[in-house]
Amino acid sequence: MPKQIMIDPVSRIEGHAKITIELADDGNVSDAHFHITQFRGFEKFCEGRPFTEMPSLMARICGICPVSHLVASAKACDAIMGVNTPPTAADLRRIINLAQLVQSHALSFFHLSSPDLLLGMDSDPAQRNLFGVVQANPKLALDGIKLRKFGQHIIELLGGKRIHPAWVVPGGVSDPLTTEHRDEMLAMIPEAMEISLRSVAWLKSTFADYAEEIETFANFPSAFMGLVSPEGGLEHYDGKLRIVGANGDIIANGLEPNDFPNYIGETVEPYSYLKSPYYKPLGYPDGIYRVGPLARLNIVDMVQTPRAAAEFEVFRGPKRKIVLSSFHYHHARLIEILYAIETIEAILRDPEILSDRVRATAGPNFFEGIGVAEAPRGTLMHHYRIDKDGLITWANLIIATGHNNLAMNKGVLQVARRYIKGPEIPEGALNRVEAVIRTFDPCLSCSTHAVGRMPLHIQVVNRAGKLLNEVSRN
Amino acid sequence: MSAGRAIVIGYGNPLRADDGAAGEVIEGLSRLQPHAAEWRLNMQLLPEMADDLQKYDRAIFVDCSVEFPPGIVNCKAVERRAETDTTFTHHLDPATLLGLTHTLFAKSPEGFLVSIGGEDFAAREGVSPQVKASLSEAKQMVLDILAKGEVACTSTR
Repeated sequence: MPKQIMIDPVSRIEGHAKITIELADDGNVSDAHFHITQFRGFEKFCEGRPFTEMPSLMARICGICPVSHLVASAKACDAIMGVNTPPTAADLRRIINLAQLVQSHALSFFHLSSPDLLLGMDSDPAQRNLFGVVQANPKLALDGIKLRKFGQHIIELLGGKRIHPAWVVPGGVSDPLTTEHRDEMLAMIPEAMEISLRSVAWLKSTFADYAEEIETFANFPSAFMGLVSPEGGLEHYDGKLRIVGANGDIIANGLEPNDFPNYIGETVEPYSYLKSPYYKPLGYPDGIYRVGPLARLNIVDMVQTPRAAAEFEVFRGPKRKIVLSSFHYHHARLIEILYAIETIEAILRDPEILSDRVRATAGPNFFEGIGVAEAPRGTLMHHYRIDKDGLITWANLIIATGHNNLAMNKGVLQVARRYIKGPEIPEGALNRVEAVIRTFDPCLSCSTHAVGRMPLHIQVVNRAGKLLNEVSRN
Repeated sequence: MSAGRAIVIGYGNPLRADDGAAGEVIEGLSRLQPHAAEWRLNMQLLPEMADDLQKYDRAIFVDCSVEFPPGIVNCKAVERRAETDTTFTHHLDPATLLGLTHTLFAKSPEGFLVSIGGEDFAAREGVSPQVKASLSEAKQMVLDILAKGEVACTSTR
């Protein structure tokens, strides 16, 4: 009987990871971990670079969500310069940020998770992928492709290219929006909206088939964190941070994003290159919280756009119950797509969006800057320090996926304990362990930046799994 | 036979030396003959491209490949693949993409792949001298396919 099960690599996620599941002698799961096996080092190798380069550098962290890093990085540079971006620039940044949210959420739902939901968690792994979805439900696959293309094309119209656009800059954006591009984007809205409404209806039709998964997929009490608007609604670009508890009580509200080092701490575990942020007043690991679509819909009082608001009523119910099961990240993701499309349309219909006042200019006026925005996967924080010449001396990034590290590990253990009983381990059980990770839609390439005093824990075991030697550092 | 409506898609990472060869081809030709085709450049082939491909009669894919000696330019007709053995959407080949297009839209363009043999994929910008020397031939190959729809296989060098 195996003592350790390893899932390596974890499939249908962005980035590289493995999962280890420890079995006790009775075959039941005793422990499980989610290991991020990538090492990037962005926080280190950007030292010495001019701060104005940071948005372009940081966008290269990821090919899926480069716009998120552009926005957060540019906001940190805005703070170093001490400028307020013109309102039109802020709105244009909002549009590109929301467009990326649409394409990223579409990728997660349609390409990575819909194979499980459509074909079944226990279906043939050879078919359980996007191409299997194409064969089984071409309409669903086509909807995903078109929705992804909607978001990507808006990014391309604004930024000049779909991946790593350079248009978001310190102080604002580099070019105003043309009438032609504005009209082209507006023309795309109706089809995108129709697809989104159809998709959320389809997802809700699957809930009855996944009652057990809903019950066990990282379904536990935790706090939730994210940005909110002044009126307590969804906010992805500005606003203040709010932390809400599992029972709906507000733990912290109106937190200045620029003060985050005072209330968000980080630690490093020996089994992963992914840092583990936590809410400092509650300590580690009690300060665990979740971020991302599920968290954002749990912390808000309302949703500002009509179609998304209607789905929000279904999601939280009339008593505004906090949704604890991470399975419902999928539902939250689709509601956010609705909100994003409606908000993009509203901003585009404002004549001021065509203003040519889109950039504030200044040199460095402060030695430190923080930029916070909501990425598709959750709250993204960029924190830089510079010297008198404007060169980066230090950078710290807290990535959305990192906030969810502890929750993902808890989720893996919960699912493993429910579905792995030994000695037989069905393939569907292992897929469910992966599927709970997919609900978080982690972006692992983005999130691994631990460097320096790296904790190490090395175990040497023989073929029978007997521990021969053990070494720890830090 | 003229191309009808044609799209040319170059793909590869411009920050990995020779892998940026397709970019050199696309950027050069799109400046030289902007109206000869729809010119596209991307890091990799993606499922979303199926929605674009279905609008065209002919699709030419351009990439850098380790399958051929450095500087050798090869082209071949691409038959759409009805099924795929890949589960990895980070690696999509022209045949699978054409197959995906046909499954979703009941039509797909005639496909060709122009590959430039490469050897240097280090983390840097700029192609190696041998690949640079073959770019003109690759560009001419693309133009020939656009004009005639015929396949000329392997370089004469």
